[in-house]
Amino acid sequence: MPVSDEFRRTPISALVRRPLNSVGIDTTLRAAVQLLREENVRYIGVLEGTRLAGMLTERDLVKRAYGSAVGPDTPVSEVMNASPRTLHPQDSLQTALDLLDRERYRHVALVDDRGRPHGVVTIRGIMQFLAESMPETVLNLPPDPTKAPSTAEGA
Amino acid sequence: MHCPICAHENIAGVDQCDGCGWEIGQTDIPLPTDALSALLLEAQISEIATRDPVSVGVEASVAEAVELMREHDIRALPVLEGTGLVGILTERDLVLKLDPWDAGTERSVRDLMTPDPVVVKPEDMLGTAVHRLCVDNVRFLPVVEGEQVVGIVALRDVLRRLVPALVG
Repeated sequence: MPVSDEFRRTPISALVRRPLNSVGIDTTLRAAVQLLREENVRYIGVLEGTRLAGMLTERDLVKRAYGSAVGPDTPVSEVMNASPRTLHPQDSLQTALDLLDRERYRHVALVDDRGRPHGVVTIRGIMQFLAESMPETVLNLPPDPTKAPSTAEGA
Repeated sequence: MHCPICAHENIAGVDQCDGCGWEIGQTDIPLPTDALSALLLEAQISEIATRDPVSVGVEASVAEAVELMREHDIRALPVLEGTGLVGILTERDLVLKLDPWDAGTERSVRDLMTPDPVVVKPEDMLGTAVHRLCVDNVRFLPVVEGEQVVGIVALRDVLRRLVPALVG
């Protein structure tokens, strides 16, 4: 099946690799940064109850925290993006692709009708999906064709 | 089989390129089968790279680097020593290595950068960029000609180029 057909048919939820790491809205910046590091993620959700109240990304930290007057005990709600664009889990992958491209987002949270998060779709996830869909064109390439060995390994 | 050096189309299985004599027996560049694979195998990185990217000196302070990122709304800075590339400083490096409330310190970019970043060349194909971004798990690829940084490619740049072929 052509990859473009796969993109049209694949549900957006197929690209969610793991649940959204989240903190409560009263969490301190110190704890939020610690979670970003421990989980090796570039964004976390900020919850008010079970509802997604905002997102905290590396970008938010660079734009609003580094070099400003924030302290380790600053509430995460003062640095997060309080109105992130979201998608519904039933939306198509093509819709996600359009949004990520048009709005220059790197990740978009999936949120259900009750405002509960159901993971995140990322540019990297889409790229990985693409690479896995056509490994002979992407993953099997010699990293630098000019440096490919001229003799078989071990010869 | 397309020669990776001169792009001459050879008969599959040949040991040497008929166009330039390059030994291509061990390289295995597939032929394009549709519009998407043609894009990946034939488009060059120079078509999507941001040329002459904003960069920072290796001895600059972190505060200067953060200011550059904000001012230009960019997420990564090639790090130069003289005119040569020695590293890359990304938002990720900042968040992993420096607490936001300590950003006023005079630590230098050298302390926080990722040294010897993965790089690509302007003439590399788009598929090579995807390969590097996925396999090496990076989001930015400095584009170099010799020792000179002539551009930078982000994951987003690649996706943007592929979107028309992906959504048909």
